[in-house]
Amino acid sequence: MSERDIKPDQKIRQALDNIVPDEVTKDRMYLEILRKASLSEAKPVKKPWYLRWQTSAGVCSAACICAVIAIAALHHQIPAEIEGELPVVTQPAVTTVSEAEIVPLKTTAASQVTTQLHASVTETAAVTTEQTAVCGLTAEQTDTAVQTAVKTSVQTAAANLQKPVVTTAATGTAKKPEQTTAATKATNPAQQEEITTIAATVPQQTTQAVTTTTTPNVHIYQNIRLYPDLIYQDISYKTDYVSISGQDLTYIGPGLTYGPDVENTHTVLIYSMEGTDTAQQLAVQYVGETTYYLFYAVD
Amino acid sequence: MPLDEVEFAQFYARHVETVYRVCYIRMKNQMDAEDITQETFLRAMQHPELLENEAHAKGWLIVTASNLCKNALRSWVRTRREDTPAWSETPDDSASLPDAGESKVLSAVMELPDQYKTVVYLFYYEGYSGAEIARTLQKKETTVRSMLHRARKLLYKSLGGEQNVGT
Repeated sequence: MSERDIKPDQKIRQALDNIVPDEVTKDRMYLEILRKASLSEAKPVKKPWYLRWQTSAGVCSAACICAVIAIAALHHQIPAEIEGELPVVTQPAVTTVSEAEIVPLKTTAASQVTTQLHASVTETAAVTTEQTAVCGLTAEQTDTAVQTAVKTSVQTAAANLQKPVVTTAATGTAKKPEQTTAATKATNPAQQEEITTIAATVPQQTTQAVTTTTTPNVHIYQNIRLYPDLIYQDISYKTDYVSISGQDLTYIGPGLTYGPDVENTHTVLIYSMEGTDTAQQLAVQYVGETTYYLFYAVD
Repeated sequence: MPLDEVEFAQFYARHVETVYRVCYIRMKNQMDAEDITQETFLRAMQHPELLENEAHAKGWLIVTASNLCKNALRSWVRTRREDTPAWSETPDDSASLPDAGESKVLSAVMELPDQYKTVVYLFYYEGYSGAEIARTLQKKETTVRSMLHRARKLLYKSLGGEQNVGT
């Protein structure tokens, strides 16, 4: 290798030798390297995304579960409270009317009977009153109110039903409790003493009864044998309890029968017989009964 | 294995000029050269085995610095930013200014294509043979010789017809 060849190599080497950082630059770079190294060591290792979101996801899931449980518990708790507060109506056909609503009861009873008469071929409306009602009404007052109610109801029923087969109005002690389907549902003690129950009685299968002021130990049906006498349109009638057919009868109105051995009365439904003068003979159906009895005028 | 700080300081002192020189030739400015030098030694800290094999460490540092320079030169930020002033125009460059003749040679080296600079540096400054350069740069020896030949031609043109540069 000639001197001429070496010279350029030396020139290149000498030129590159000049590219040297000074001591300050070296120290600065070294400190910077150490600083960056310490930062990289202090920097926590980045966790995977599913680990980074693990805590948040867990908290959110727990919150959602708690919310669902709370909503579900609240949802099930409200019906339980309502169920505890409200009465359980097992027989929705029963209508309860307080005693303070006796006068409106007339219309209500009539409408009830009318509805039932529309639905049934043979139907009996039974009205039973209690003399010792809590409301303080006397037996006569109660009977009068019931009589008016029955009259209105039967008239309405008769208007809608052209030919009622048998209709009996009965007032007195209990006689045939097995026919009664009157269901009185007392909602609370305060209402229990002032209950008016309206029910329909169908002789064969369906029975509707109107019960006013139901209290314990009340005789719904009375013995009709104790009420053989009747005064209708100022004419006295009497019966020997001879039953007659229900055909060819025309309803003319309600009435009250009485007897020599009792102080109270029994409500009845009065019918005229075809071809017979009502001033001589009547057909009477005791409320609560299905049988028609012949009443004849007494001079 | 944790890196001993004293050992690393000695390691840094031994190789910082070499790494800085490689970076400076490629990046042509002090700031980028310093950044790449720091990054190179930061990476070296993660390889404690470099402290045990000096020859391997030197080659590893040169190759790593070259690759980092190459990445930096083609990075989006650098291609979009304004060109840094030429190395010879930088007044506060820490590198000591060479005289006129050396400056001319250094300018010729700086103007070489990037792929030739490392080869020229290793051949003329570090004294590596073609085989050693090929082994260090993971290239074929013939490729290295070819690159050296083209680099000499370019230097010949730049230096005004000085023949047989480094032959």
